[in-house]
Amino acid sequence: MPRFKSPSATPSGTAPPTGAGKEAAKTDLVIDISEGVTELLGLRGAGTVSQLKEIVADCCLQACDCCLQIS
Amino acid sequence: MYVSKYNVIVNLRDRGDVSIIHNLFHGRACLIGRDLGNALKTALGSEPPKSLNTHYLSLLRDRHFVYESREEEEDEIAEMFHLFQDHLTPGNAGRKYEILLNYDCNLRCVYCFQKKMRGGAIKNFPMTEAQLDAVLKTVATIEARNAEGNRQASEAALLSVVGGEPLLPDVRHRTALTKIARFAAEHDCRYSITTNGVALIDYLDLFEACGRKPNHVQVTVDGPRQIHDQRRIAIGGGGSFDRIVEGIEAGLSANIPIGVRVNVDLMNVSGITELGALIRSKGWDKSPHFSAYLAPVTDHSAVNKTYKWIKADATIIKQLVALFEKEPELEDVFRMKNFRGFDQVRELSRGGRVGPVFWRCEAVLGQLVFDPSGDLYTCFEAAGREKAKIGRYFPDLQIDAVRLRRWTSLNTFENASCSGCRFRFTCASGCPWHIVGQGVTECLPIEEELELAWNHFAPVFMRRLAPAASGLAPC
Repeated sequence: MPRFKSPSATPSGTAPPTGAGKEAAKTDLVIDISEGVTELLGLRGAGTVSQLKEIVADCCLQACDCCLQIS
Repeated sequence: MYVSKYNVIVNLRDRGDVSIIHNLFHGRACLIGRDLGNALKTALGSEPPKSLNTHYLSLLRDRHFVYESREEEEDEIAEMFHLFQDHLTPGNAGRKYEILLNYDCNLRCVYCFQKKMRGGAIKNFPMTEAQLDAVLKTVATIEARNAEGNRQASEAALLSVVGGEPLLPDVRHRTALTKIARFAAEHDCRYSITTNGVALIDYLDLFEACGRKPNHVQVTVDGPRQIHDQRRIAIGGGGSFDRIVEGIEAGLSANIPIGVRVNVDLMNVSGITELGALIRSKGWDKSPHFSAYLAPVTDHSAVNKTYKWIKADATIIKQLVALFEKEPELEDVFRMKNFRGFDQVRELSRGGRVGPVFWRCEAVLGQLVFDPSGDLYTCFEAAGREKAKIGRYFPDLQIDAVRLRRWTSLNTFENASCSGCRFRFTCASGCPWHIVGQGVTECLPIEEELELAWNHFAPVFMRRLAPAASGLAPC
């Protein structure tokens, strides 16, 4: 799997709208587990070319499943 | 508004109040309320549920789980594909070259995918010196061209030496390995070897003498001795286990990176615990040079139709996850990289990021595989099959562009047969050889794998999220 270490991938909870109590918090939470690569969508905030190359290489240049080595 | 069809909603088994939403295109994953999860489950690939309030719609929109329209999502996918494509080195993007020294082997494994390559019409002799010279000349020429165009990736090119069995104990194979090791040293390439490990110990002096040790050696061990020796059988009978273990120990002592591959099917899955214990007892898992991974046995070449132990569904992964839950220390020993859904969730649950897989493997990125008949392929598993051939390298280099395109067009974005599938960016359209050889796409049990994995890794991400999810106690 392509994977990238993300120093910014800290969990960010989002409070429910006003008036929501504890029960609502339990049922309506939207909390980030991982940000994925959404910052690349629309090429916004894609970072420098070298960072991008690193991500692309990590994502694309995988070892084949069937028989070969860990890349 | 449009709810992405690439969202997977997983209800956590031990937490009735929460679900996971995981987008298989951009890899974002969130913990959400169960009610919200259930509502979204019914709306995938269509309009959001009417009951969804604007606040949560906005949160989901910001996180690309919901789009203004289907077209907006499709535009983003196309844009990211072209962004990635533009940053690949043209031609052989992985800069990987496989040298298939022979189709012969000193083992007769029960699930061998090359069994039809031995004997008969296929020549049972190793690559000649003249052929190997042609291989190395081709590599040098392509790499020089890459350097001129300043298109090289940060890592050096990789020569991957494979077979049959590339480390057979005879002069011709030793001469070939010497030549490859010296070429790697002179051209600053990496080189690796995929071996059954039987004669590995006999080659360590050669690596030392060449002044260039392999960057990686993969050895297959299918379980503890009694299981391994039933599966990976020496010619004429008898086991291979003890020699292999001896080779691994000696290789690690010589600081050679060794990766143990365990081919798993129903026949040996029960032996994983004992193999893990063996690895720990030998202290291999503590070595910085050691790694091990579990890989499902597959039959992309359709040569093992009567081999009853292969399961293409989620049976194997279910049994492995059950083992991990019983004996968590096994997870520290074995990676699961070939179980793509499981491995992806493992990474996400630890805060890592995962992107879409547009190219399944080196075969669709223009890798070159050189075989001892002078033929060229892009896929090692398909080598020797006429259908898979893309050209010749000996006596002269000739690549058939139409045949090559059969492989390189199999990226996830352009492969029309998978365009409607929600799981395509995880399984990446399955094995390309399966498609080229059998004309059908191999569908994997990704959804079940993801569900198993999110439940399995729940304690990991719930611990990490505890401060944010203050209203929730850890699992």
